Amino acid sequence: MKRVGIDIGGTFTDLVWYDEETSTLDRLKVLTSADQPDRSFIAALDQAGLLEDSQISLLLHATTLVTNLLIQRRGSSVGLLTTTGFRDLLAIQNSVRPNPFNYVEWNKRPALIPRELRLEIDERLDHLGNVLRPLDEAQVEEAARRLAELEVEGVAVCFLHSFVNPAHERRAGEILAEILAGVPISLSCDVDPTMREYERTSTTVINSYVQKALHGYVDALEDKLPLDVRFMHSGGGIIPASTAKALPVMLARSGPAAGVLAGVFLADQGERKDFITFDMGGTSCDVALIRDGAPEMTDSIDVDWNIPARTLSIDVQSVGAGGGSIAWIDPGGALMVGPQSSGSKPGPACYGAGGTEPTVTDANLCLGLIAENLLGGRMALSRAAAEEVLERLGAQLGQTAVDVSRAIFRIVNMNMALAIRQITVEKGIDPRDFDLVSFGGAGGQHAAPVAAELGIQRVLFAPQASTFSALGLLTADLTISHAQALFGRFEEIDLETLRTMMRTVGETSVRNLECDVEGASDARLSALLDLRYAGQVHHVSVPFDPDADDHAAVFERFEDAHETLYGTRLGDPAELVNVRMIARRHLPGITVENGSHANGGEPAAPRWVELERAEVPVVGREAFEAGKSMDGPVLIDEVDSTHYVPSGWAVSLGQGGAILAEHAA
Amino acid sequence: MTAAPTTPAERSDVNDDLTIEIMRRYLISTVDEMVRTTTRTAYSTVFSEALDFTCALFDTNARMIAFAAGLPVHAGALGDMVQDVLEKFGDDFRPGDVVLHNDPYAGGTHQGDVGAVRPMYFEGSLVGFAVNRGHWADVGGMTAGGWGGAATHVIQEALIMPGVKVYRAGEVDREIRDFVLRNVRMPKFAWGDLQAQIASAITAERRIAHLCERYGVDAVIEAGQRAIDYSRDRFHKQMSVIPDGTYTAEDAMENDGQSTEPRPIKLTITKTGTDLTVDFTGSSPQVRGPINATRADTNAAVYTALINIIDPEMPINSGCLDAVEIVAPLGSIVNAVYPAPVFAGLADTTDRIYESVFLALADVVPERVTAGTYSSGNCTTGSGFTEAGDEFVWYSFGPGGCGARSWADGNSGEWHAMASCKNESAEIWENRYPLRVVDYRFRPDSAGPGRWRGGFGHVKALELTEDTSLAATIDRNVHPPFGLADGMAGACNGLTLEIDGVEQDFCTRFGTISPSKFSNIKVPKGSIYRIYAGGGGGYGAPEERPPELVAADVRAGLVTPDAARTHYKVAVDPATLELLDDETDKLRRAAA
Repeated sequence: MKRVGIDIGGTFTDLVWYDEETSTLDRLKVLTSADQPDRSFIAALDQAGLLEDSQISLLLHATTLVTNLLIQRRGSSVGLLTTTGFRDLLAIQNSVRPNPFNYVEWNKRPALIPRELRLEIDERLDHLGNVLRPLDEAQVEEAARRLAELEVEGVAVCFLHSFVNPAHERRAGEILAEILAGVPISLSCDVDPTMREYERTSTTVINSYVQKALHGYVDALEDKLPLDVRFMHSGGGIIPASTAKALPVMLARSGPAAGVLAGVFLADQGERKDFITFDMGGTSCDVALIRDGAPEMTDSIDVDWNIPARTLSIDVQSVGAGGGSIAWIDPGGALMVGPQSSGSKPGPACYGAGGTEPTVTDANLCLGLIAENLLGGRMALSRAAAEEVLERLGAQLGQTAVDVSRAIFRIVNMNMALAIRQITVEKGIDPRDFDLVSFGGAGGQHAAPVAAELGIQRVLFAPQASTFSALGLLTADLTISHAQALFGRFEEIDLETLRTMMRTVGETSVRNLECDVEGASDARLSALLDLRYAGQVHHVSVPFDPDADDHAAVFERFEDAHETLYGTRLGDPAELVNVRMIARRHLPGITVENGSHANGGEPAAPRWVELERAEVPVVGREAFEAGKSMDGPVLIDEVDSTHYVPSGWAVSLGQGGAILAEHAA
Repeated sequence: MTAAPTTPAERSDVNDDLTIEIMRRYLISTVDEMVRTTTRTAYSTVFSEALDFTCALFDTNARMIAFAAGLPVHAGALGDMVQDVLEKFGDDFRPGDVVLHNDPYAGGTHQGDVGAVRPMYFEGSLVGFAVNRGHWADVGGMTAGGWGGAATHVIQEALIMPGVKVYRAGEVDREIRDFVLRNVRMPKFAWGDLQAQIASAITAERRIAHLCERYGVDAVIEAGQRAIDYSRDRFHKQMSVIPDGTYTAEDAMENDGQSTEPRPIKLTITKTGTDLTVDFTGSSPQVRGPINATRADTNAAVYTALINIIDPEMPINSGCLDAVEIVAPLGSIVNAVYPAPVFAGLADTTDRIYESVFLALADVVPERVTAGTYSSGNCTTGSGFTEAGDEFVWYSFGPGGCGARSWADGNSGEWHAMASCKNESAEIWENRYPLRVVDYRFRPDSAGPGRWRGGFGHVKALELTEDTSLAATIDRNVHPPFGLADGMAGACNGLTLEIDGVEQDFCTRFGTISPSKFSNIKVPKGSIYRIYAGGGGGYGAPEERPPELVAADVRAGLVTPDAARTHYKVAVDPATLELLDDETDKLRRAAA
């Protein structure tokens, strides 16, 4: 049987497939059709000869569909029901500006739902879930009819304190479903039953906003395909299409998650388990942390400024630093790089497609890091065009094209190093304990200098760097996590109450993984408790074993975690915030036969690299596969990327087919 | 100051310009790191939720090198505090010292904002100071939280900490700690938040040490100098957006809580080349009520306005902050001396000052200012004891309607220029305090009409479930946010209390002198306390606003059909809310 992963990004659709009989892996890349991603999906399968293949056991998909709907504000017209008094919560938001000193120019991001579609319902619970005012069902009916008239394509419901007592939301949902037959309803008690009304409303609204488009997309795929598609969610797990349709907010960061999972796969291939993934493409660089083979997670992401989605996600930090990032001079005369990008059209000046702004790729060409032709000679780069735009920029600073290229290189590296600091140093984690795993089209040219900036000693250049991300799809498990608020002094919470709640939430998690997948194990559950010192606002998640743990054991675990994260152990009483139940169904792993990852690069004439002020040898990947090791500086050319190993680094074959560069110090 | 020795190898690439430039940027990111450390570890919601604190790095000469996203009202006000700490302690610093400071007459804003100043060392050499100033939930005084609208003496307001070492060489001074904590309500929060402030300063010291290790102390100091030069040069260059000339404005604080008399704020801006002076001569003498601004408050407000106008994206430090001369007469409402109470000076008088700068320059840089904004902290507190005997103090402050621009509507439910704090959750409040949030909606017709309308204000209504003592220090309840260029004023801020179905203002019900500046008003449980945030002023004549935009606001329920007709000369069918083109034409022709 075969397992197929399809990763649709903004520019390319990557397809990888694994043949279980032969333990072989194949890959393919096609251009993405931005308006009709389902076509890209089918086209990629077709080109790979897999469209009619009856041997496919699993079809896995990572998509930027939801991300793009939110960025481009192309979601559906949906309604919102709130508790009386709260229709404007979605518009008032959190009221923080990105730059506190830029008051005059700031334009607040509009709510995803206009005021006319935000309706209020008389009902009220207190913070313990007691009914202060019963649900006015007639008002719900009236609201449903009003929304029907306005032809909404979805309805979100978020009442105050519904995470303690969902009865009013559930009843409102039933009434809505009767009157608005066929319109998907998102209840906050299903989507995100945790405390804080703005974040919960926002998450529920996002779910509703993207739901219709996702339904359409899944239906279009299912029409054209003989088998079910499974989706990768932001947390790096696989879910059935039915769950993706019910909870599409889970797909908000589906794309970047796959790349981190590929890093996890690489960790499984050898002794090294602590990685920082470094995925640098054309417009951005995504970095994430893998500790002991598991990615670091976050329970909330922002889909726009102050518009949060509370959905468990791999903590991917993204910076506007890629090959296409544009270099410019700020009003104070300082050189800046990004976040604006030339994109694929017109692209860097050296592409000769009309780009007139100097980019990172232009600088790298000028520095000699990349060759003047790419893709095995199919794409020629114009060094003259790059130098021309760089000279123009340099003239403003009194510098030569080479000097300004060197500066661009260092500044973009610093920007990426700062992103890595955010996911490490700022959380009390020392980046020097990690290996940097480089992939994406531009990663190889920058990984070693970025590592050096952070004191990281080892860099792994992933095989087939430009499609490496998609590999993560084939290695993921079916897994999902659901959270439920349970608020109170931890030592006062009865463990039986806790276990009862865990059972209910656990059942939801298991149910949301139900689907027929050959070889998938039964669901196993594990629990996390979100705890904080009473009075604090931010919590720490710690594992909880309902059969073995008592209050004291959990409290100690919490204090340990707090001390590790923040350096303080306060001994104050703890407060429970949420219970999280994670269900996991293991899928059989993939084992790739040790074959060559050689990727079109051939030994070529040495290139002059300005950063080394020397002629630097150029080799292909196969040199290391044959057992060779070398000292930097050396350039490793592949058909779609180049890896730069500076002097002071030694290079050899590493785990999982990656090339390892180690700092000599 | 002596530099730590560095190896020749390290020194070799240090003098290169690019390395210094890269270090300059690392210094700025260091402060971002301080902010995140504070947020994650703080105790009170004022810190961790509302983000009412600010971090910065200073050099050994008390010059600010780097500042991060925080409250503008704090940024411009930090330098004088560090200066005061240096004057007080001279070279009596050791690694691990922490100085507490909140003296309003010596570089402080109001006493609620407590500064923690911690020296940074590398291999025994002092390399600078990490500073974190934040709003403690309570610092003692006659009113919980400090917002005593009826205060007439600074000593009533809160405990003053005139630069005292609470840590010496890393060891807590138990006497100072116990003394401070014995004089504040809810000491656990104060101590928890101070720990977060210190944690952020330790983060900064580690980060700076890392830079020193790699590049040497000299290079780090040079990078600090570079940061200051960069911002000064950029400020001077960008200053040309303001034409040379003299500009004046006058506004007023509507009352001080002790009388109903407005208190004028006058300013004259003189700009010649890169010389810029803001002179407050002619402003009111300091007053009995708590609306006096400290020197630091006034500086902060002037800088905030000018940075918005000149170049809002520039890195903030002494380079730009010192580029302006501010003349603030001693003993006036913009530079108070003992014993003038100052608590509301920070939250409201600074707003009046920044808006006066906007007003003065509105004709010459119309695209770089806004019309009047709700511009108050809308700061109000409630305190008391629950039935179970636990003491509670809540502190409410928040956004409102912002002024329109010459090119866009004002933002709704957003902070004014001096602050940018996160709104707190009703669900969290109801779990912590004896109250319920029963209304949180925009106020129809609160936005000042104009070609571009102001932002809408909203109401926050609190149903109190225990007897509660209320205090407030709010301005713009009588004088509304101004319109510009024929735009109309926005709605005022307001406070009311509803008991048994009767909603009244505080003058009417309790006989307070001011409707919005008072202390210790006891109200029974079951009362509904409504805090109305004002709307922003409009820009340009309302009858020039495209009718379809007016109709859209009517359909959203934010502008009433009556207001559309009266102010905008736009007719909307009251039943269908559709725009009536012919009638609108008629109305507009008649108005022209």
